[in-house]
Amino acid sequence: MASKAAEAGVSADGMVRAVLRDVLALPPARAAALKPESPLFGALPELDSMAVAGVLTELEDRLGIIIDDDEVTAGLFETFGALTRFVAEKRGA
Amino acid sequence: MTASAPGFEQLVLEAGAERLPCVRRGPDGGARLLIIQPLLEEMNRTRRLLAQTGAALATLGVVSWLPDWPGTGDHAEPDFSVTRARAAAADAARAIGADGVLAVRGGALFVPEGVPALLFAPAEGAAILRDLLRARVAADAASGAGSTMAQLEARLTAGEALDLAGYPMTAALADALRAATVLRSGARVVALNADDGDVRLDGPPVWRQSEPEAAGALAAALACEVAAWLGR
Repeated sequence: MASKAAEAGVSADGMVRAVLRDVLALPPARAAALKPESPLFGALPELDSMAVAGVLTELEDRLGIIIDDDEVTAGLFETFGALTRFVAEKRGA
Repeated sequence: MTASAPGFEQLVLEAGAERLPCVRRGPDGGARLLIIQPLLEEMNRTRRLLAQTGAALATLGVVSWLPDWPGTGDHAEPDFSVTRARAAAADAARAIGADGVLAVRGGALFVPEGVPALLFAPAEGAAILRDLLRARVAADAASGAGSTMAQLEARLTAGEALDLAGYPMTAALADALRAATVLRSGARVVALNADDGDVRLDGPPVWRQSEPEAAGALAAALACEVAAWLGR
């Protein structure tokens, strides 16, 4: 895993893909195959509820952001695109 | 002694008022290390990494004790208490005459005073509680129950015990976790995939993985760090 500084130039798409790969131990081919419409929670067996918390915390650590309690909703992990949009907005904020 | 590996023994560690199921690995006469496991569900997910670390340490001349904390693991009744775990860690370190402790993730909250400590990927109590509450929000979303962090906090405050990743969470335990902080001063900190420690290791965060991946290289690297720190 790269340091925060090295990841500053990485796209939200690349960032989310890397965190899902690392936290869920997804084979690289499966991580690479995720599309915006790919369902996440309920569709990836590796993504259980503990892993959801892990993904959020890893995103916080790597982006240096805090995800507020009221931002943690069911919709966040519906699709890869939904999570990526959220991360892009947090980085822009 | 069981036959699975040289210097491997399952025993009951008498630690003050507690009788802790414990695995001891390593050669007689080695440096004596107490391993303080992560808390609650993270402990289960880290079990294999710590078994591999203990085995690697044994080859480096370190004898390690890996107890389960009261109310976790092999104990029949899940009834985890910060106070009990902290007292048990101190009693366990005394009982084995530890030269040092290796504390992992939330285990860093229970490092006994007066014993040299190496902290691996230490986690604050508040962060562990937040992870568990977030996991419950995700689980409730999947089951259609629907909950928010604020609602869960309110239910705790109202006196309800919530099931968080298989462990009963009460307001008292939540408050104790929030109040528990890692004492980094004087300890050696080994960070995982981050630069906020004395040393950085890279590898999978197995405590976050529902099916923890094999992390033999990480276990070997951690064992080397610990053995060098103990002067082995």
